[in-house]
Amino acid sequence: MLFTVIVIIGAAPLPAISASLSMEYSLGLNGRFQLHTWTPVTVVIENRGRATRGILEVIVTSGSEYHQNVFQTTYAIDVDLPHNSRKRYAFTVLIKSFTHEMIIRLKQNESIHISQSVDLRSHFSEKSFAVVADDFVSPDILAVLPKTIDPVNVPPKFLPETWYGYDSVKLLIMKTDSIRRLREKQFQALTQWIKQGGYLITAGSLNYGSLSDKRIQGILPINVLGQRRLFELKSLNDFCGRSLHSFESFLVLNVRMENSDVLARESDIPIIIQKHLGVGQIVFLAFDYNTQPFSNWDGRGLFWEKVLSMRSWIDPPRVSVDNNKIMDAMLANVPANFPNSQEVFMLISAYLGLLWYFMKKLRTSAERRWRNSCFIILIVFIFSLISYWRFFYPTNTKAFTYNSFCQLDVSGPNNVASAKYIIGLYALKKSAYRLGFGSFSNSITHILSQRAKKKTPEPYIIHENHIGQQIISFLDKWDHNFYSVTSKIKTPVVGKALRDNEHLTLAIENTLPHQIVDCLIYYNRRFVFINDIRANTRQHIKLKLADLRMTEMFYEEQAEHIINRLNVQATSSYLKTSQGNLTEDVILGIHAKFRSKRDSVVLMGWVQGAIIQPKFEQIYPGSKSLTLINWELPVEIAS
Amino acid sequence: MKYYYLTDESEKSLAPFFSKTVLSASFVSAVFLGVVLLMIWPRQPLSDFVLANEEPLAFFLVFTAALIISAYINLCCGCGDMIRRGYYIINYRTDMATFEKEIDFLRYGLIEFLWHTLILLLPFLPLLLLAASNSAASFTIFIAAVSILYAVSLFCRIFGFVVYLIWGRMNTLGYIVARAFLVAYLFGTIFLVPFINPINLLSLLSKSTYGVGYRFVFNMTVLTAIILLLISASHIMVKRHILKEETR
Repeated sequence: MLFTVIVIIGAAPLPAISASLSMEYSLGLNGRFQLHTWTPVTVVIENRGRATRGILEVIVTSGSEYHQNVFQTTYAIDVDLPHNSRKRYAFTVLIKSFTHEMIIRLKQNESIHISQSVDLRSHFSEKSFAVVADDFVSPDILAVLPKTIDPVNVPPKFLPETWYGYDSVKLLIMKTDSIRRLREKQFQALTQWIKQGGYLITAGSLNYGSLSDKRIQGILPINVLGQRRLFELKSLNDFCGRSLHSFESFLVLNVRMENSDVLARESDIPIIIQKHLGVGQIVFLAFDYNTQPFSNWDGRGLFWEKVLSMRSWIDPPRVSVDNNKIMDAMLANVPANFPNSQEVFMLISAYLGLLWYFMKKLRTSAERRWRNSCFIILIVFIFSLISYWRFFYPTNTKAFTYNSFCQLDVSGPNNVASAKYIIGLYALKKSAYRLGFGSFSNSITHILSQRAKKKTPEPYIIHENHIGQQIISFLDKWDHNFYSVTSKIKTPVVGKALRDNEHLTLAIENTLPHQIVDCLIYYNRRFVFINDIRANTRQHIKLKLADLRMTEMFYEEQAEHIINRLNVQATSSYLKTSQGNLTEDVILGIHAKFRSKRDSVVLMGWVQGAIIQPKFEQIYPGSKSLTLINWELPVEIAS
Repeated sequence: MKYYYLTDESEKSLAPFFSKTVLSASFVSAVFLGVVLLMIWPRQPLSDFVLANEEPLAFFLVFTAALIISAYINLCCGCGDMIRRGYYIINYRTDMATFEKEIDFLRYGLIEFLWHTLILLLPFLPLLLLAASNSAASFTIFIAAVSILYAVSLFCRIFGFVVYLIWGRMNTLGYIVARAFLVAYLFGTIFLVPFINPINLLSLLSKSTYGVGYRFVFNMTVLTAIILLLISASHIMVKRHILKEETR
């Protein structure tokens, strides 16, 4: 009887996992996203049933049927859902097309437990965003923001967890209290974004306790002296052309901040303070923009216009280099290559020559028939061995290789560097791979060479787990894939530039295990070659200003002379091919960007090694790596 | 057991190892294969192939050339076209019974054919390795392709021998049947029965097409079965010839 009951209970179907799961999502910035930018997607899953594990996927489709380049990118995260749990998972996805639905689904061993399709048509925007990140915002503020950008209100809990999730954000308005309540990942993402050229407008409120928060002090070292009661802010007239008057008094914070610029001051109280953080900037408002009298001030439109216009002061140091030129240089230096045809010709000639000699002997002399036969077999054996070890075996061991190019743009003496990293994977045989770049989140996307026949890459998954992001994909026989990774890394070069009456001195510390070669200095519209910078050393480079003045000012035709001096035709190495392909773009870019900056010096150099190390699982492909460093240093004047 | 095929270079041996004709044919084949390999050796960099997602054709072309050459030479050897043209053959235009016909096939002819086919393929080995390296073929694919070469060559050799046993060495019909068979087998089956065609199989191997392993096993099973049938037929015919000679 008992046995029967156990059997019946065992045989009864368990409730389906999907029935106990529910899923909510938040797309973009309050349901809005800009095409061709990285967009945050937050998925909340609630599990009321038994504990379950799986993979949460967001599938984004790009391309068009007409161009036959429809392609799906899958972003995946490992999920672990205990009984009665509710968890939030944040993705940052690249959306290039709104014509295809985005799919969010939870998979477990190839079975889909829950899936939801999102129609993107109603969500896309062609403009960048001004984000007001607060749980409670009066709709007025959105109405008065400049029309050139799309204003959206985003609850802080839905802000991105990656710095590149702010890709479409031009202006972020957020109170310090909201910043304090951000999750750690969100706070790190926000800080990274600002350091790389983000623009945050923040303000204190009557409750200014959040300003003493340790994290906020890290980015905004504010010292609050107290509050002041005022009736007007005349200084705003100088700032945006309209002053603020009120019949009732209002409170402003009286604060001080080191290493900052005061843009508007009311007697001794700084009203608008600007602080540079990395390449980006934070503007602190001493008044609450959400309350009266500011919230019904008729100059709000002008004020926000002025605030937005200050964004143009942010100038990231990136010198743009055409991806196709980089890929061409990489393709010209694939780590595997065919054996030289001359070498093959020599081998075949030697083989046939010896074969002919001994066969002739075999035909003509009957006495030493066996000995000559043995010689022929020996020749076949030896040449087979040569063919195997010299050609067959190396080709088979180099059936999967990669090379990489990294453009590192550094601004300032010791800042985070912005890295554009391109990796090219080449397979002569069908190969599956898992490729990661460390524990930090990077924006990873595929790129296609203009010369390639294929219109889409092999399908790939960007999988996030405990070891970081991984690209999971495969390559067909005689196939390639390029991925572009944008990352923020600790700068490998630190130092400063000092100028006195006679010299420009660069104190440089190269922490890399590779030397920086073929270095060029751009200063006062002149390019000057300097010595290589040795690996793992600190060194001083002194340039006589008199000699610098003697050097001809750079003009575009000079680019060719510089390239010739790099001797790019000498060898077909990866360094020389890349220099040949890219130097012109880089030096013209540097000249265009820094010609008007007399107070900064730019160092451009090449490193024959990798700064970002790709990590492959189970396979150990051969590789070549190259890094181009562009480093902008402010020149200090010696007293 | 006598192994005349090792040393005998008279008109009594179908194709001895040290025969001038066989050595010349073997060398010329190797030269031809070498020239083919040099001609198709890619002049453009490897990245062009990777970019176009196309693999070099060296493996397929060189192995196909080797297959056709080896199949033809072995067919000729089996048919008796490579017999030394000595005094008897030139002066008396009649067939002289060879050792292969006079000695039990399983004890002599078959062993000779197995060895001879293998040795005729040997000079191709370094060139085949070069071709395989050019197309980045794996060692398994290489071994599979070489085994196809061997099996097809042996098949042609034994088929040629059967033709020789039926029509004799000098018969025009036998000559035409043997060549027609070779053309039909190597080229005709591409269109009619592609799943048993060796060139088609080499093409699939060079592309490492999905399911090529099953196709290889199927093809080799069919070929082995046919070879076994031909061996049985040859054995019976040789036995009958020996009995006829004994009763005479």
